[in-house]
Amino acid sequence: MLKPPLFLIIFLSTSMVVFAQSPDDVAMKIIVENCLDCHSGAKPKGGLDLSTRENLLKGGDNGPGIEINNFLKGQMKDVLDESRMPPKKPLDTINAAHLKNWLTSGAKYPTTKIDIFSTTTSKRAGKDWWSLRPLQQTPLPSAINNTHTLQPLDYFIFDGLKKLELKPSELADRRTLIRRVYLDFIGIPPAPEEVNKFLADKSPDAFGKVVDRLLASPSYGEKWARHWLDIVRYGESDGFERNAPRPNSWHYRDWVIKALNSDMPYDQFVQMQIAGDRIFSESSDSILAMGFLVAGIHNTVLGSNADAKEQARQDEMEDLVSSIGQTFLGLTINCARCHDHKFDPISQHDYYQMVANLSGVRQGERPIPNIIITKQLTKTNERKAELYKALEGIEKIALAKLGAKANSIISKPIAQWDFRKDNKDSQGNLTLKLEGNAKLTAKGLELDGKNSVARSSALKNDLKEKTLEAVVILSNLDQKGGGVITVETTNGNLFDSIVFAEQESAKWMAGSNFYQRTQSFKGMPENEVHLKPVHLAITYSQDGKITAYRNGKIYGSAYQSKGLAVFPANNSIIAFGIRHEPPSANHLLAGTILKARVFDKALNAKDISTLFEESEIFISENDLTTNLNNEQITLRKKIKEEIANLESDGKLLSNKKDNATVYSAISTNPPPTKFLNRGQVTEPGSEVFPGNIPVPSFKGNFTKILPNASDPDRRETLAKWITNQANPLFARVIVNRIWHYHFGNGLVDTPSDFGFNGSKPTHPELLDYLSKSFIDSGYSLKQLHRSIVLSRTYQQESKPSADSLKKDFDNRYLWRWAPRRLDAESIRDSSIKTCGTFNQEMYGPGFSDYKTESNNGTTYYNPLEKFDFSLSRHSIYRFTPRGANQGLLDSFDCPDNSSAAPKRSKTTTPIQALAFWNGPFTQNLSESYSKNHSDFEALNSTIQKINHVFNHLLQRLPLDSEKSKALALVEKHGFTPLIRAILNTNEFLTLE
Amino acid sequence: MYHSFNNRRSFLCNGSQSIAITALASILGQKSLANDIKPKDNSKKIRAKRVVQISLVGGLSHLDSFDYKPEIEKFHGKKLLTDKVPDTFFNQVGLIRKNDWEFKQRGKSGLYISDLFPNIAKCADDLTIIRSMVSDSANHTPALFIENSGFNSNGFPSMGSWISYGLGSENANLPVFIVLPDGRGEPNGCASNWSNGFLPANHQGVIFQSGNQPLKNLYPAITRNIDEEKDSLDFLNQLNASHLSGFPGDTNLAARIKSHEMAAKLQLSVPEATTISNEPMHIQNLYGINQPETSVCAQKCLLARRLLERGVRFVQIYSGGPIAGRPRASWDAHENVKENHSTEALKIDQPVAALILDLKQRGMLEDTLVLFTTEFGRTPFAQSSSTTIGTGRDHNKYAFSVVMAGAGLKSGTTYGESDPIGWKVATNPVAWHDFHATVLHILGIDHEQLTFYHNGIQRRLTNVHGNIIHNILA
Repeated sequence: MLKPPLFLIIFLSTSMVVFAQSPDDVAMKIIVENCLDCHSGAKPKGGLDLSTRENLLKGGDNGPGIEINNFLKGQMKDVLDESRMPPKKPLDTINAAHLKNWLTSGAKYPTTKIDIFSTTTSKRAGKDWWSLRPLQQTPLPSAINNTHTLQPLDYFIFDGLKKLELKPSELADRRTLIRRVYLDFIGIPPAPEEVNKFLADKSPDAFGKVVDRLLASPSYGEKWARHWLDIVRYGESDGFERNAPRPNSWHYRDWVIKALNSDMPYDQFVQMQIAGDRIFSESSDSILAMGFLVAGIHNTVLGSNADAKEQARQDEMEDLVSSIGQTFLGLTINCARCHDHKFDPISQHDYYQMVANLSGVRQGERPIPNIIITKQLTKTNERKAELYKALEGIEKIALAKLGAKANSIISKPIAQWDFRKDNKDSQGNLTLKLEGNAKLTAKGLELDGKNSVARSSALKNDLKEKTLEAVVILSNLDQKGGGVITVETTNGNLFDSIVFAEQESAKWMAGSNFYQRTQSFKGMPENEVHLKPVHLAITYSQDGKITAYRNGKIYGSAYQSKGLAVFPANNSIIAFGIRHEPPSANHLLAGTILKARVFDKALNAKDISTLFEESEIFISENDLTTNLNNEQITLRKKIKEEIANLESDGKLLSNKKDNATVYSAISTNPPPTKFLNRGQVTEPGSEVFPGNIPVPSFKGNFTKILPNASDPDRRETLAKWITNQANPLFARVIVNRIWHYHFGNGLVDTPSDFGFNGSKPTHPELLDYLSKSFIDSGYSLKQLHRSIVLSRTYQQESKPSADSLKKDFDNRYLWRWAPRRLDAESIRDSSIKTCGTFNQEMYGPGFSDYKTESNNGTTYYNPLEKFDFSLSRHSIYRFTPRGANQGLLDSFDCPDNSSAAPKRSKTTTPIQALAFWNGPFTQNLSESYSKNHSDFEALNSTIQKINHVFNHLLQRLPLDSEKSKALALVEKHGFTPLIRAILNTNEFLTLE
Repeated sequence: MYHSFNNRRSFLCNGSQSIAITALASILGQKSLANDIKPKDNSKKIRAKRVVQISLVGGLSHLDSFDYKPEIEKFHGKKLLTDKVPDTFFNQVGLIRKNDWEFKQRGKSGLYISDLFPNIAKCADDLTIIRSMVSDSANHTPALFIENSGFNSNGFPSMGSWISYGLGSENANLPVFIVLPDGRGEPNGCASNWSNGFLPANHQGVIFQSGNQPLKNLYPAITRNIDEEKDSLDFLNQLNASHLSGFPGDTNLAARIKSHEMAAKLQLSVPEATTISNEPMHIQNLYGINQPETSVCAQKCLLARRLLERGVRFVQIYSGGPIAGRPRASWDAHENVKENHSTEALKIDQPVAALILDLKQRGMLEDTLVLFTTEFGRTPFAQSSSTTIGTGRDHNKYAFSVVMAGAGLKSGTTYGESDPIGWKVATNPVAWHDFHATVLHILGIDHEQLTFYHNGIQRRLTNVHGNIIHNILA
């Protein structure tokens, strides 16, 4: 009866609620608000409990609160007369007078005990708190004159602006829009071609097409998984004293990426993380998803003291309860560990109920069911082989129409074979002898990997600088150490060879005697050389530099060897299928070599690219489109997409197979949960059983759970309670997060706290509207993204207006798109993407940009002060230990994942300026720009090159004034300072 | 500094008349919160403006330095009288061992200080010794975290960061909070010890190293000629200026432009501040720059004084590197206190004493707080078999000593007591929260008012604890 009808509650800026009240109601409210924090509960101050009339009469240490015969006698009256309470800020005269009147009129209490959580007061949230109430259906505000097609959400925003007499901003220009939406969705800016395509697309849904393309891009999951990992305090080391790395925790990260990319319904997404092992028991992914439960810190140094151990366990439970409450419900349940929540209607008992729900969860390594994976992997590979065949079939049509290509004369090889025709060297007249099972067929030189080798007659001249080239298809990817083409002395003591998977599985390597000239190229592992022919070349330069190429492109990165080997005339041969003599099993290759050549010089990148294009396995996109009909083109595209999907699946599966365990939650028999007085392990109270947080509008199915329920039962009940449609917090919290990441601010500005200490929604009706639509869409995050991004509100320009700034400096009402600095990882990824060679490798164990040192059981992480190709993967794959020195990323507010970071700070400091201006990352990337853009050097004029840089980094051409300044800078100092400066501009670093 | 949390700083900015200017100052961390967090009681004043902390990593034996226990002699070679096996890190409880250094009364105050620190002992009349410190952990890493941030795990802001957040900068051309690690490496937990935690990144402790590049990234990673450097910066500024003209009044963009100017100033101010060779020879000699044993710490102490002089708020000097490894590179004297502490003390005794003297002779000790701390103490019983008096001592979180000097303190005094053998605190226990509350108080900050909203809680350096130790205040 104290709970006022909801429709009478209105929001005031101070969070006060005002409702229709009788004088007695008002008196109760004054008491709840001012007295009950101390004078209620198990141990009321001074023994005086004001929560029932009976206890008021009974009184405390200083006598009765009111006397039974005369309500105007007793502590209550005295305190009011003397203005003594509350101690720090006694009641004001109006409230004191009201209470005195209430005493006079009989000091009436409601029939039941007043609940301190019942109503919201000026000091705390009650059960009527806005976020705990059911979702409200509000009709759209009236239409607003606008030429742009409006999304429903625009009506709410524009209505809000109208009320504050603010005007929405103009539509942003297209270049700004595409840059914005790329950085927002995938964390990297668009390539110039993508910008041009969008600028040229005059269709009304041009922007929609871009959005759909981005949502379909695998990079969407990579970018948005980062947000999720921030929220769930995901870290890849234990924290605390030892801070040991968790080498198998990345499975969870990969699972999040995949789930987001596949638009897994959000309720399922959450259920899998809390209780996947039960609710989705048939899916091997559920174990990966449950990495969530153990993503936090874990104290591994417990000492021998039992209390200390229990303390550490309770700390861990707080971490988990905190993460569950904040992540999915926006409730800081954890604040009720030692006492009832000071601000929200969550009792200490509620907290321990939540502990009981989760107390069976332990940290550890869990095996991934191998049989399932192997089966899945085989299926994937079979389908992939089929698709490759189909693809070959289509491409053959185009090839046939094209006819034979003319070989341009780059450089004359010293030997040249086309094994599909014969075994004759058409250049140098070396004779070739086939041994063992080696045979020539229409496919080429077939080698069985058991005893097949082909050897040439001796070279007629010394061979120093050289290029080895071959086109090869392998029988399988599991083989190790076979050579494709080799130059060697006849005894095999000196050799250079294109070797497959000797030191690193499925990777190419420049083999040499005792690895004298061998280092890792750090290239990508093969995933198709067993399905279709691949063109390979390794060049050995005079200065000892060794470079590998795969299908015309640099494979990994080149390296400097100790120096060139000299293969003496008359005593050296060319061999196929063998790494070096003698032909023992692990030197031999299983596969078919189609063609091969040897040059006596190190060809450059352009030459190799030409060799590849003329190698008959290459067919340009242009040739294809002109020689195929539309149907064939579409079919081919579809096949290619499916292959790409299968490849990422396959990779994930092989990783799972290789890494047979995953860091995840171990389910154990839950021990009894004790209520801990003051949160002290030394003061256990009565046992507490599983249960929910009383969201008044929603009780859920906790009533059915038995006190001795198993761990999966408890988690299943919890997961289903959290994700139930009737739980108003569930949709509100995630919708607000998505909004927060799109606009830089949430409708509720504290994304993980929807309680009293959090901020109120600026647009409560809009939040509910979006939440309802989100539920109706089947919890589709991608549809939610789409509806937000296609809104007029999202597409506003970012220019400030003095008038609007005055009224709404923080742009909480969205009168513009507020510019914001990119987050640390987007800065890193954008820089690499625009200036370097972006390594697209998805999934699997991450890369580490740390110097990791282990000293007597403790691990230390300091930044690796260098930058190379192996580090140029998307930042989501960065190894993320806790409490590490992150170098550059630290200065851009990349959080330490020791605790959740639902909202990152965005600082600007001189240390940041120094790090990005002077640090090795920017310096190396600036210098490598021309090397990484193959079309750059060929441009005719400096102006064209300047345009190139502007187009790639800023997605626009330089203004005239900028052009002249850039020209002066470049002419004096070259391009490096230009690129370094542009990387540091506000424009590059800001999302506008 | 820019963020939109509900914290008092953004509240201040947004409530201000001249929003742009205030916000800009705030973004760059120059603005002080001092007015907002001053203790409400006006009788309390700002006693110190800056702090220098010498942090001894590994655990200084209070029994051999600042906690005189004349009665321990009686117990030497005896068993600890207790019904419960003491909980120690290595669980090797040997017989009680008396102090290895002789204690003497020093100065006019007559404070007992041992011969382990003969030079620091000469400053006795300027010192305030707390002999009743307790910690929640006897493990190095969590104990270091508690010493620095009040919490036993990483992720919480350190005291220096809180002070930076609370008081801002007095010299925009130098960082607010500077850390000088031991030359032998960073302590356990590394950067977490001077982390800004969830406070904005501009409050992070910034490491100054010795060598040509005292501050990381002060100069380009690849050497550039001066001309190129200047032209590149000019070009950057031109692009930024023309970009900003499209965003009049945007304080964040303006702040980044300003941050480059400040970075350029750092390139001048850092070398100026760190060139200790500019100091007169008698000052260099005072610190012991030219003696091999003291040289490293002397350079840090002298550098600290120069930084404090130039307006840096908080300088933290570490004595001791990583805990693990042999020979010991810290105060963690499990094997042999005499050997270990002699070596370590020799490195720092003269420089630290010189720092106090030097601050004093410049009048700076009046508004500078000097802290000489360690994460925990050592046991009165040896770390050895139960029947021998071994030469080493194990960790002791139940009682240890820290030393303070300078602004706002009653000098030449002690506070609190441990039991007759220094195993546990007997009177006036001081937890790190109390210590932190007191330091903030001396700086004129109410520790209950210095808060930052994080994940549902207005976080404090002192969590929900902290009692100011009024008895040590002048």
